[in-house]
Amino acid sequence: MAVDRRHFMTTAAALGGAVLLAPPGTAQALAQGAVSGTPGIPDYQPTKASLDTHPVPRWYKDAKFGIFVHWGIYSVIAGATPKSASEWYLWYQSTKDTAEWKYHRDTYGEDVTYDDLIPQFKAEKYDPDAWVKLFEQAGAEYFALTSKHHDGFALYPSKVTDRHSVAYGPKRDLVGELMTAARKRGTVRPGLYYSLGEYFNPAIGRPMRNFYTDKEIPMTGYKPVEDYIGDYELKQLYEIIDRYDPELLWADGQWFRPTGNPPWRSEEPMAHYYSQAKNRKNPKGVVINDRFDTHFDFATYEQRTNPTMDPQKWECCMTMGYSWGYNKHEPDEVYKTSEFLIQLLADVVSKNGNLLLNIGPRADGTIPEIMQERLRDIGAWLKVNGAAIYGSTPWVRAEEEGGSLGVRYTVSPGKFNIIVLGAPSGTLSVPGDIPISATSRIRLLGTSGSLRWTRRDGKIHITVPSNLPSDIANVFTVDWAR
Amino acid sequence: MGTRNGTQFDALGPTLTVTTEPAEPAGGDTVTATAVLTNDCPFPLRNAVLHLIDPGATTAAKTIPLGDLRRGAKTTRRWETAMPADVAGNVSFTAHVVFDVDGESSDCARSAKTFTVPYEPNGVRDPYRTFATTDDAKFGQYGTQLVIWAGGRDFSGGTDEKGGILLPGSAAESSVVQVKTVSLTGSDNPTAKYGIAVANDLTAPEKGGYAVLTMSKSFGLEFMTDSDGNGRLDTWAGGGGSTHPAWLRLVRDGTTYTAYSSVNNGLSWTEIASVNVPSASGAMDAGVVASAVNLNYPGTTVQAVFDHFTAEEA
Repeated sequence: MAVDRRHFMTTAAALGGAVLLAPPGTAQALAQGAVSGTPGIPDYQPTKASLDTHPVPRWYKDAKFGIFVHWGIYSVIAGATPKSASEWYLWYQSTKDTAEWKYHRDTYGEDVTYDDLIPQFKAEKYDPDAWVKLFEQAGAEYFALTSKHHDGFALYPSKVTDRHSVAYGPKRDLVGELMTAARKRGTVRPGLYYSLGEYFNPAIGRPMRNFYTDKEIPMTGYKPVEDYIGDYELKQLYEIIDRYDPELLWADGQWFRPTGNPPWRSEEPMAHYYSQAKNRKNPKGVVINDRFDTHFDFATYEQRTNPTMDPQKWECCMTMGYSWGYNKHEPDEVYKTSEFLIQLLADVVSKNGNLLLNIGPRADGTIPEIMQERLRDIGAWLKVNGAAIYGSTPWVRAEEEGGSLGVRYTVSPGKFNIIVLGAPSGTLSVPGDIPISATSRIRLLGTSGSLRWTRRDGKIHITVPSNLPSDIANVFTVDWAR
Repeated sequence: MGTRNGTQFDALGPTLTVTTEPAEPAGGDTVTATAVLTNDCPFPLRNAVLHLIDPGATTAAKTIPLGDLRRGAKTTRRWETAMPADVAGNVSFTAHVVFDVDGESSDCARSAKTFTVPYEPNGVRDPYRTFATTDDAKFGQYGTQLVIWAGGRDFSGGTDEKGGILLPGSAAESSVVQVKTVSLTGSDNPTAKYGIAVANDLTAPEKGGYAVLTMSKSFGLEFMTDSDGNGRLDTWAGGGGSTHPAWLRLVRDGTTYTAYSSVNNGLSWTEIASVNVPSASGAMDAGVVASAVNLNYPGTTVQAVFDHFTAEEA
């Protein structure tokens, strides 16, 4: 009997504090063999060849749907125009006469810097338990929170800088609270986003400036370091790995390199991350994306999908509106519809992808209502149709191209799933090579009983009930005794 | 062993490979393809089914139930097929295996031996017809793909030089004409274009109803129509970036044409414009067109590849 996917981590959570929020150094101790590791698997070495032996964990393959969270100082400003990426505000503002440069001058004045707005990032209504419950309601299996975005402001207490949310702004460990909430509930796997590079940082060779006077100004919280990568970036990666023990590490910002374009040396924390995940009493699978400039577990498709089934595991990350960070100028009308997002999920899954759907909380920690609505709509659909999504795998072909109603296919244990994008009526006809035998039963998820079907003219014709469970996407499952 | 929460089912494998004999087959060759599946996972593959797929096909030539495959098990399956003559581009002999990991999860492995077969002009088959307003147009049909080679100085209201493939009388009063623009190669000219065309008679646009919806090499979409029935394109909408492949859709409702594009395989459609073409009448011709737009790139031609062209009554 299948384990309830919604409570897959309750056992892990019950193990206690080391799993909930490990104190610094715990992971190193585990990596050094303080507890028994995974038998037969040597520790990972900081080489691409060694890291390439790391498998994509089963949980990630099965999960299919996660939530991306972009949150930071940029959530205070919340965009300059309806079509601007609010999390890139600081970078765009640094160029004279851009919309952000003008908006900032007109809204805050030339003497007010980006960092001057940090006190307005208060997170006073931040309720991590409520966030996790919302992720559950969405049917998400994992999330990735921006532990530090390109503006260099960490949402956790870093030791290598004071530019973080405990020293400034909210005065809270925003990362830790969400990780703890997730592990307490044991329903959604916690992951962390981390930007390798930063827009501005004296150690990277681009000090912070006033973009109207061009004068160099202090960067709030900055502690001088010699080597941006060795003394700062890598140490922060170790911090989030060891302190929060995330199931997923999602790198970004690798193009903002320090002066001289040195390599990121990501193999070092990556080997540590993999080894400490296996060298524990209950080894766990961890996963990383493809922006560390070296080995990766899954490929990132940002704001786009992979048009074909790809045996390499991949992830489509996408915004609901235009911006990743909260943009107060974006009208609700420009948000992608629930219909699109649900159909996108089916499309992505049919081609071996996961969907990482973004939300951008406000500076106070509340999640805009339209984002909540979209997430709950997806969750309601998954509640009925999740059997064709979670734990599924692509069939011989992902889709039928060119039809009036889209069709996507997935395979799950004992089932072949026909996901019709939309609401078919009368008879649904699909090619006759789908796996079906004379005694196969076809059911429509969300309804009871079997449907009538016939084979004729090389096609399978299924009689569609008049009342469908969804206007957006309906799943016809065929018993497939293999 | 671990638990469901652990890493018991984390594995790089299984390993699936495909080889062919001959190693570099040509059109018409009889090919023996060999799929080798090795279960190097630390767990058995349950209820495995191996699918073997010929070049250009979307359905499996062979479907082989393998049952359960224990750890370390290796199975080899061969299939023989003639390298089809009507397949070009990147063509593959593909093996795809699906299996259950346990009662909760299924997984798959996929492998392909891929060749690049050049498109050659081989004409089109009934019911397709060809037409051209350039001297150098050639045509091909490979399975569901249509191919046009064309020069042409320009493709707009002033100069209308193109090659085309049409389905006579296929766009009814209420109809949807749709195609996947796969690739446009052969010229670096950013204004070269390929897409859909409709007209009362595509070989004589001056008979009315003329409109084209194209994707340019680099300058995005163009939706042009003939508003006064003189055979010249005199309205324009479009712009943006170019995407290859993309889907183009032209919806006809009497004399109203609405153009759409999709860059996500038809998951969502973006409306480009809706235009009245008063001279549209009856069942119209619909087809695909291409032009090198080589006025400033003298002598260049393009190769335009389309797939899944349809003209269906709405």
